[in-house]
Amino acid sequence: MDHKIKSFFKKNIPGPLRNIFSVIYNRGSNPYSSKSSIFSQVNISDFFVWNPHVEKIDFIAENIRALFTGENVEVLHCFKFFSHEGEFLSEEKYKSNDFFSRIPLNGPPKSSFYSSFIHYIEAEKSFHKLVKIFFKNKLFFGEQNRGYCIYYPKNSLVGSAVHGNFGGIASKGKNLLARQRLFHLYTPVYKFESHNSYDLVFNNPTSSKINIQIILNKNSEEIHHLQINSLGTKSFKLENFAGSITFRSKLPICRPLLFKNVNGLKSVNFDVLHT
Amino acid sequence: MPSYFPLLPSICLHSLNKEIKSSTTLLNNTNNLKEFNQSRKNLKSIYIGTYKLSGLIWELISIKKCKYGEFFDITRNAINVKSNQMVVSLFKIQDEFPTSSRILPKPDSLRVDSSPVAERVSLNYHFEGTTTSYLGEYPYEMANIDKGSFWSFDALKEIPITSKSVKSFLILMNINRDAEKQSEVNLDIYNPHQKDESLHWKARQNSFTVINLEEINKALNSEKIHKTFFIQCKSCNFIPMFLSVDFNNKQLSLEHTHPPHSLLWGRDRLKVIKLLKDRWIIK
Repeated sequence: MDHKIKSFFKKNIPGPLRNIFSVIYNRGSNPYSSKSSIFSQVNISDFFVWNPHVEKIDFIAENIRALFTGENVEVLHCFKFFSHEGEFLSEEKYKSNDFFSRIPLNGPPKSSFYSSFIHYIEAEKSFHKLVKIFFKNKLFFGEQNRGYCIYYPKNSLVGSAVHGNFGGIASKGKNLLARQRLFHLYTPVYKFESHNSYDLVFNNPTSSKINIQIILNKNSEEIHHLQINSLGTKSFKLENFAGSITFRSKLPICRPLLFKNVNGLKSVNFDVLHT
Repeated sequence: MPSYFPLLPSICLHSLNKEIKSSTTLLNNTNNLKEFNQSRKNLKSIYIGTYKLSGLIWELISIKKCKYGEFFDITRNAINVKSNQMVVSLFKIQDEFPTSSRILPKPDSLRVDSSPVAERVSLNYHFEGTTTSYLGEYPYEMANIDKGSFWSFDALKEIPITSKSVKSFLILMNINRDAEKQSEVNLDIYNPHQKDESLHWKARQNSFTVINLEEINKALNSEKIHKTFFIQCKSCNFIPMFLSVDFNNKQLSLEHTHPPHSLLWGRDRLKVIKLLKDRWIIK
């Protein structure tokens, strides 16, 4: 939001109304549906990338119920995997009462493509029920299942940790709150180097197909196109390129996961980051 | 709002005679914008000023003119600073940097609209030919906060019992625009099941605090190698980052943990998050 308008809102509009005005004013860049940003009480998940080319993937899951109550509340950490085309593939469930759990994921069977998954919680009591005793009024909030993936390259005791991609995925994948908006241009501050190879992995948390243009910023622009189904995943392999890249899409923020030197001869100098 | 861009501390492991070197990569480009706002983009050169905290003053180290679309790298070993000395870079549209100042100058911003994501840079660690990067920043608003609180956890650490070649470090970063704000603050590190037996650690405003997490595991007598400990401070906020390294395979990993407020979403989330802070920080 422009600084002047933000100051005006702050001075002249009370808190709850200010949030609503802010959502409406920023609608063109709001990653969630406006209605859900204001009134929703559903729980959502980030959208995590499954990489079939690494040795193993551990997931760091937080137990929000335990963190808020200070007690070992037992929950099921559930993971639902979708194919690269966005179709449901498989599910895994792990019981835990710890505040944080490190879970080695099996992943979808026979997967050879990059794909995506969500993390959600099943528990005896909903989070809303657990905390509502502390509040008189109805509150609008939901759990946001974040978590971290740790991708281990071959023969390494250290994996590369990264948090999930923007998701807003509710109701076990049946309610998608992420929205496509105006065209945005995102240029991560990352210097690609020609002696490394990169897999840029995009997933689509919105309810319709998305088109992404990958613009290699050289003397003359080189543009590649991807189309991704709802809940689908696609990767783009980048080799022998040095410089910066811009992503053009209708996602307010189009941040692929970047895997550096994921396999092949250059198995050293492996890295994963959220661009 | 604009951002400051830190240069992370180099990590020296004297017992292994190893050093993990740090660098920061900046780019003159608006990182995210609506396409129809392209005409508002700054396509001219900008100036990148880099300051070090010297005593009670921010001292200018260098000014780099950076063309549109051009990267600029700052490597800690290439400048005359200590391995953990606070070094911060900032953007200016004009070449207007005081050579020294008690208050770190306010940066200019390259943002043109309300598109998400703060202005960021690549924060990098290097070890014998390998590099890990994390895109991050230190928000201008946060650098104006004298008091605050902090709560995080160390679940991203890697401490296998069978290997001495693996180390994990927690890097806590606090930047304050006022160079005189360098008070010592107390950190409590504890097993969430035994909060009364917390480990007391010292940190400082306007500095990097690097904690070897193997030492924490030993001090708290953890039987489980991946037992997650909580870290809190009642008087200062930090950005926490986790660096793990396998010295045998030269594998590095750098990532931050989310702040507590990101565990929830929706317009009333901050009211509910207060419960979490009350439970773990205040008590």
